[in-house]
Amino acid sequence: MTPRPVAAAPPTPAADFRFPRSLAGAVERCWQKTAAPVEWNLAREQFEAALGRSVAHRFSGAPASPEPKAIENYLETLHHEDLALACACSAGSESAWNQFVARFRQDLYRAARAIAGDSSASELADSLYADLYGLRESEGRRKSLFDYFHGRSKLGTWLRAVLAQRHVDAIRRARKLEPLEDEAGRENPEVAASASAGSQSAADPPDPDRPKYLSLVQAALAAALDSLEPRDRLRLAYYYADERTLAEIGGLLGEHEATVSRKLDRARRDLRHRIEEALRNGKKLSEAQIQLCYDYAREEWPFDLTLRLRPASVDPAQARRPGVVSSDD
Amino acid sequence: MEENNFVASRDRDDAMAGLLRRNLAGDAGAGNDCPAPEILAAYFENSLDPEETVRYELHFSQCAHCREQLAGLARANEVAATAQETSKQTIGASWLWDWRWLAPAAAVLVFAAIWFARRPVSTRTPEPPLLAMSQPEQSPAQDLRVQVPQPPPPPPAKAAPRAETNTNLVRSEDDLARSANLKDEEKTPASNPALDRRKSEDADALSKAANAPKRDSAARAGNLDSAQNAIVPSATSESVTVESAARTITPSPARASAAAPPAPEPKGAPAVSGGVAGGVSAQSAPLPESAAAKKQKEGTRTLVQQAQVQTMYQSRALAPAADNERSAVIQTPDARILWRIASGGFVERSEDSGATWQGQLPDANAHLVAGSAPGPKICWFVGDDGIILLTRDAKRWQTIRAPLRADFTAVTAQDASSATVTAADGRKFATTNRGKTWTPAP
Repeated sequence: MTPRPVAAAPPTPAADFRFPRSLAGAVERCWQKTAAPVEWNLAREQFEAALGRSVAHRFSGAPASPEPKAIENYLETLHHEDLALACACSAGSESAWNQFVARFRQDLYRAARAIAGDSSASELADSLYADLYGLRESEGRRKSLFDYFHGRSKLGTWLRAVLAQRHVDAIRRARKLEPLEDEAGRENPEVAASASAGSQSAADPPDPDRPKYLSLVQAALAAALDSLEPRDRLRLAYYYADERTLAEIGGLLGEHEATVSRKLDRARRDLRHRIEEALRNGKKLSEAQIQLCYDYAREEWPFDLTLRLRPASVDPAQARRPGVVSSDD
Repeated sequence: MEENNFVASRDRDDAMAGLLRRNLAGDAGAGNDCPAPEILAAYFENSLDPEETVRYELHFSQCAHCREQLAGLARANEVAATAQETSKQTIGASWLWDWRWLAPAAAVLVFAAIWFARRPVSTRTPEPPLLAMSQPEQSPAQDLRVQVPQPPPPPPAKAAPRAETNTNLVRSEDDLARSANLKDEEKTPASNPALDRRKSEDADALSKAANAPKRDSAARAGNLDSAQNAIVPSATSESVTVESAARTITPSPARASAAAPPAPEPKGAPAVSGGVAGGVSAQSAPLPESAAAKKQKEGTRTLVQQAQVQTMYQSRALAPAADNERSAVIQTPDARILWRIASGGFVERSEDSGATWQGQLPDANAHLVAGSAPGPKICWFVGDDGIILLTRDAKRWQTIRAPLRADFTAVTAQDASSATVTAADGRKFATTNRGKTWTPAP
């Protein structure tokens, strides 16, 4: 699995898009909605160019040129005031920058504390703040991160997303640099445990068909997951891969905790049904063999839900899922 | 049998959980396909197209990297929403204490009290006993003895609202007296035309509001909305203003002594607003005024002054660095190397006589006002709230301990250890050991 490359530099801004005459009215309406103060010295042409970049970014990779109606609908969804502010800041307007500072600086630092904790927040926010300002000036124009804001979301949400991306990238870089051995030459316990588990199962399989059963059940699961709605799959990923609580998942997906629990349960049942159908009808396995598939999977990849339901006083790190509705069948 | 089925089912669920975790935990989708933060933000706001939503949700379900970012974004958004809610509640309640309607309401109360005190005596004095016999309608219980007309009892209610109003005025004057650095700012001639214009516009608006007659509630709400929109563009800026104001109100011996002399009026401010300081300047009136009316005017004027000060700080919070601050270039011994102060806590350095500039962020929360560069890579900056910054290699910055917590307006440095700073009240302090100790300087 190829690790995600670290983003050392921001992507190239999208090329400008030239609006046809049929969209002049839509562009004008967008301009009127900005209500940009005169002090910003933001020219209509500058804003139109920003709109063009936004359209180019949105429809890049589309198989055919977008329809004017689609572009017009897209333009209507943009956050025009925020885009104008970003455009003016990128163009070097002192007044716009002061407005941005007054409106967003405190929120920026608050968001950094929420994302990265108090110890790293200041560094994270300072870095973004500096990039937004544009530390390099050439020919009287700063190179600013504002160039990459296209108005598809509120400016505040975009800033928080950038902070989150930078924080996650920093954590991942740090993970890659963790040594396998500590200074005394002892192996990292987590790495040693996973390695020994793998080597034990590979070195002494109790059943020569074990790998075959594991492979069958994994393939059946992969096919079943592919047939799920992406949102259901995402919900499962949050729960099983990221070990998030029902409340956290609800916050991420805009759902109530009870809804998350119910849908997880339904997805789990659905998957099990599909897996067993595939193994029974597709691979012609008997019930005993299907049970073996599950048994070997449980031994190979243990995932004890009861550990995660343990009260906080016993194991705070594990008690993360109040209200889990286990399947019932 | 049922129990065996239950156990078998539970075992299969456990197996499923392990399988799901293994399948879903990998970064199968991670790579160059990860969307930009703007897509994450738009997804979070549910503003993607349905087709885009499905496509990106599929990616997110396979990409732990993107999911981690979304989780971080969710945490930050939750904190922002909470802060906004708190701010709205503060703004919602704060209008109750807004002087712009309190002052006219207080004026009405005072006038009502004066009218009550001065209303015609005949309406309250009982008829003398001579007339009692000509009033057969009187109640039989009424005493027919001679009744001495009692002087009207002093109305206790009259004193209360006046005293209460005066107390509020006194409290406001005390607050102004403590904020001596506001007076110090007034001493400094305003050199920012934009700030001056804003001050005079705000002062005009404030004086109109102070002298306006009693309004109905709808008009008052409308005026409040427009006034709030004019002065406080957003909750964030208001909270920034509160921080600035809170810092400057901190008492100190220097400020207390500086509070005594009244400050000159700001440029462009109309005469009716008077000075910013706690002193109350007298206004000339065409007719002699009653003591109560005079006190009411003084109180109104004091509240106007307080709001004017607040407006000035709000203006400054919106425009933390005036244009002349950024354009004021700080020379170094090397003619090619220049420094300048930008806004938002940034400073800039040029190595080619100002053709290009590179920005640095010594302290994002600092409001810097002056600098001195005794060497090509050495630079001292000073600013509000006791901030003194030093770099010795043109890259890393250290905060120097200030001699006192005051706004500094100037600095003259001899080298990386020696400098003299000037406080807003004119006092100077010198150090020769990079701020470890300071001595008063002439």
